[in-house]
Amino acid sequence: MRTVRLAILFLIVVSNATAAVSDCATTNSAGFCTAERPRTWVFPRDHGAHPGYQTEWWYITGNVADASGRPFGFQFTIFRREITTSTEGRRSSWAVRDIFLAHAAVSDIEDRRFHHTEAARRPVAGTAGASTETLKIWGGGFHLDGSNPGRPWRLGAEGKGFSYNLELSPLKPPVFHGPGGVEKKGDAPGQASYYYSIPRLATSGTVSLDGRTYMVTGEAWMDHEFGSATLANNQAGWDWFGLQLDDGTDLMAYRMRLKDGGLDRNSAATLIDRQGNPYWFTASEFVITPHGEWRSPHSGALYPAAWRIEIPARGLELEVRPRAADQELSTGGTTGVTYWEGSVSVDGQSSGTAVKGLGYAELTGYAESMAGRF
Amino acid sequence: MLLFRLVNAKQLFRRPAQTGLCLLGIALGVGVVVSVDMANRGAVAALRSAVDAVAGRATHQMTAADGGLIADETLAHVLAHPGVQAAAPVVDEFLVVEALGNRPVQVLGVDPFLERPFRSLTFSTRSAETGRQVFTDLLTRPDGVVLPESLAARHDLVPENSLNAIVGARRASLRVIALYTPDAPRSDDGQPLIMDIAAAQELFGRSSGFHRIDLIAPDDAAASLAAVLGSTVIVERSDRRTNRVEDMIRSFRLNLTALSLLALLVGAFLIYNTLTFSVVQRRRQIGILRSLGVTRAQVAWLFVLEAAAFGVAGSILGLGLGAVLSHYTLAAVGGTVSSLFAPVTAEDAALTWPTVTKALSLGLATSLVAAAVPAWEAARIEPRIALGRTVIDERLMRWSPGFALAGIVLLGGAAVLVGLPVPSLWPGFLSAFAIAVGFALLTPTLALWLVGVLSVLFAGVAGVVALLGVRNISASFSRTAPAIAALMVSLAMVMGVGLMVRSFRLSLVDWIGATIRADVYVSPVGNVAGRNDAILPPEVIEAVRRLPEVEAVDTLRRRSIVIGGQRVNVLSANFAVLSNRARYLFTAGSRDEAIRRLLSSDAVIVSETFSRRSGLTLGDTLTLDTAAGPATFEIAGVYRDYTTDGGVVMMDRSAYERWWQDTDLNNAAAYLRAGADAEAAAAALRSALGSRYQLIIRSNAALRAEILRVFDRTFRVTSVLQFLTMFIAVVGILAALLALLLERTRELATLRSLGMTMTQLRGMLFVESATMGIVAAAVGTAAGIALAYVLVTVINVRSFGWTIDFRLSAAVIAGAWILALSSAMVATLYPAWRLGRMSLAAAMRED
Repeated sequence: MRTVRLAILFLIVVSNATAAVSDCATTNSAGFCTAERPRTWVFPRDHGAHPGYQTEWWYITGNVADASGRPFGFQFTIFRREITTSTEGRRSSWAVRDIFLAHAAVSDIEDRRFHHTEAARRPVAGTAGASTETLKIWGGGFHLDGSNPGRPWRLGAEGKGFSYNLELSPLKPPVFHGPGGVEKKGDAPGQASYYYSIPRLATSGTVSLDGRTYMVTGEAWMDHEFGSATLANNQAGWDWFGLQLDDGTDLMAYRMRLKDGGLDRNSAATLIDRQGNPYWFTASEFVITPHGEWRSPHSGALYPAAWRIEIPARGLELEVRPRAADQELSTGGTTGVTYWEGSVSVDGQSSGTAVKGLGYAELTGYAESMAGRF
Repeated sequence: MLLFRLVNAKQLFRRPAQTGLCLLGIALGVGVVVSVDMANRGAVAALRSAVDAVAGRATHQMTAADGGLIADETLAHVLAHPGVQAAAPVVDEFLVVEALGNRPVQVLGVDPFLERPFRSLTFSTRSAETGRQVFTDLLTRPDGVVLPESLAARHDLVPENSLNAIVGARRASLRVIALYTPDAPRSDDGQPLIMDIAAAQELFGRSSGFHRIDLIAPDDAAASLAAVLGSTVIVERSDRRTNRVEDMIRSFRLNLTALSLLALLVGAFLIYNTLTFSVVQRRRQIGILRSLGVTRAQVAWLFVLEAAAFGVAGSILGLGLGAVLSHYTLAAVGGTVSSLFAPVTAEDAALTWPTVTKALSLGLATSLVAAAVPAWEAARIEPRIALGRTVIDERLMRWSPGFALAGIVLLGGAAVLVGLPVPSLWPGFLSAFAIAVGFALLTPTLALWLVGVLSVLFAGVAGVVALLGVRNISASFSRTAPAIAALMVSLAMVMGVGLMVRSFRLSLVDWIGATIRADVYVSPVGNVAGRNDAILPPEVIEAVRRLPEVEAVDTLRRRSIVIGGQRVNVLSANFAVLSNRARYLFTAGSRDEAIRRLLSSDAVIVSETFSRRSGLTLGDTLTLDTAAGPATFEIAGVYRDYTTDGGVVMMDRSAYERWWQDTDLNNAAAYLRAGADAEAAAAALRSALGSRYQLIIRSNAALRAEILRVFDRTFRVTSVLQFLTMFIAVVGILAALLALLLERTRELATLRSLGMTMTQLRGMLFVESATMGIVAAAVGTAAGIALAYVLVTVINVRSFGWTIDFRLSAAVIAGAWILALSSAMVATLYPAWRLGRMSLAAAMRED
């Protein structure tokens, strides 16, 4: 017998193998839709939820500062996780197909303080949910609402000792990380997800910490991804970066680490120019070199302390450093995953010209393997 | 002081039987008090843990004002309300699980996410693999259930087992998907089964809604939430809920405590008796001590200390005895609580410091009060040795009119207390004690008078031996009077409680005769005390209607609502069916008029418990929170009801359905055509429905018998107390006779040497003892009737609100007489046996 806290969870779970009819083109053995073929994207419809896919997430991270220049980082994540492919035969309105898990954090760069919270809800009686028509997701004190055409998106979250309420306006169009938005995560067919980013959103609003409210402005990055694959058994986790450079370009890059210490050849990067045109790079075309280390006082996990990212073909050389060391989230109440998600600063050069910038990094699989989870 | 201790200790050890009986008397008295105290605490703890296990860490709880379900939509408002830190919906039901002893167990349907702040829900499964699956299973399996670990262990259940359950009247199959470790591990029996909220809703036949929303919120946020949501919901603090549960059984506990104190009172007479005897025995010794310069105060102290020693030693013994007895009293109390209030499994309570302190102080205080008169008596002894035993006996006789006067004053006080128009129970208890003590004070006078009468009778009939026996009573009056009083008090209690129970039972039989008139009753198995809301499937009612011998079917719907902070049952029945069949016993209003109003307007009839509690009666109006909002009803009558001590508001089905939009039904009662056989109809229904539904189908006779069986079970605890008190009284008589025998050793030896045979001596003892029994029974009968009257007309009414017709029962009184005489006889056996072993020569030298 093994004791498992309520907390451990859903994301570990391989769902019930009940076959169900889906309107998607391809499905896996469990009956969930898979991301295999290029997709015809329609916005704002595709900002909304995609029932049939087992896991879907919306990620918004950003760096803001108040009028005096006091810097803050923020993170907003909502996962939609399908727990069954069908609720046929169930009467109760509480018998649902999917559940919503949310994480939010604020990094107080100046005071080196990190606040985070989490919530889990099932979409019932209006307490949580996601539109399938437009960008509108809410639950457990979290909301992301882009349903008003021509109006800024509204983003909010609250937790113990902190909250934020922000308005976001996209500065670039959605950018796909691969042809038709398919991004391969592993070698097997279907081991991929649909993935796009809006790499720059003008951001303004308020951040409240311990009862003090700051009026802030800055830039945010949005990711939206959905699919039904989890990491393969030999994959350990990833180092992901979303960087906004002061020359107007943005870089998404991640390296997928293998358990044997090697690098997965499905690692990828997308360089996005000022207009929002993507340039895709495969694992052999860029290098991410971690250096230094930081041990979490909470989980004991050992994380890299800095990275060097190089795309030789573009003459791009960047040094990425966390703006605060401790930005680790422990999510015992929702996903059960411990990971590092934090504000980073960038210094380096692009084709000989000095560039700098800000961004966010996500480091998973350092506290435990992510295999089978995402 | 050393001298006193030596003197006392020597005295105590010189008379081991005497000392032993006295200790036993106190020990029994204290033991009864302790066991009742522990049983009360055990019952409260069981109720509390059941409530706490259900409440988790909630600060407040929200329930629907109309006694129904809270709609799903309300939850979103609650979660969004400022200041509400956490809110979780709860489906709160009972089901019967075969593998869990076939008794009702509570099942909570929760949302594992929203529930997290309220209980930690640490799950264990068979393996890591199933551990990963457990949450998906919990959220997606409609039959998944999580059991408390200890409960599963006790019934040998493990994850992946299947369970056969009865939900209301239906069978259902459940699957154990995991076990959980309760947050408060002590009170395992109060721990509920856990299901996902969706599965629980479906299991109980619904698609939405819940019984309550648990909240974690500061008081002001909870109050503003209640204000925003309006009168459709009730928000109350969790501790208030626990207190209400305790309030339910408070009267019951208080009654038991009062009865247990009567047992201690009987014990007090024993101490008094022993100490008086001791004074008499040591009068010479005391005289010598006084002439040696020991002061009166010091002599008094001697006896006070002796009493204190008895008190402390007896109390310590009593604690041990009480702890053992509590196992039985708790079972009896738990049974009563389960059948009247809510299903509980009471675990044996541990002896705690408050109980120990209470027992020791009660034992000591009782001993000291009982020692007051003997100590004073001892202090009066002059340095001269001349003061004989007879002087003390004569003085008691001289004083007996004074005692009698005090007794009459006390009885007058009791009468005044009974008449006080206050709702409190205390005047009732005080008057019961005043009756016990008042009759005890009257006992010497009445005893002397009765002995006089009896000696005249006996002299004519039974000759000199009998006469001697009777006269011995007045000759040794200082010892016989307290023994008679002790026996009298315990007989009064036995008769008082017996007459009360008898009156109650007869009233109940009358009520059953008037109310339980249908021939066949059908109800779902899943009904439990306090939550009689299991639903009868409509097909079942249809099947009952279709039975050829059925002439009419009445159906009952029960719903619990809150009126003025009190839970009240709203009952609805088909009065068109009932009107010429059942005869409710009305205490206000006429039956015909009431039924006419019930059928034609928004009128209700209320139980007398409700009327008494609310102060509302015939002609008043009553506002109820219905599903359609507050509605005003006219009270068309007040009727007698023994089904619950909570109030009942009864209306016709048509009014109920109109206001609550609820067509569920809980019970059906079928009236058969003339000449049809009820048992045969019940059997026919059982064979038609039994395979598909879990129903209790009973004939009229079977239901009546069942009601009386529950009644008898409820009063089992009072029988236990009656028995214990009687036992103490027998010990008292035994102690008194033994003392007399010891004291009169020389006198008996003299009688023997004068030519009385052993048989004659024994006969004399038997007559003496029997006379004491008769006198005690005679006075006890008067006291018992008075006590019963107070119990029936004051204490019961104020405790439970039930009207009971006071009835004298010859059987109860005759039983008490037989008990009195036989215990007096039994008490003679040992002294009579000792008499036979007496050495004449040695006895003559004594004293």
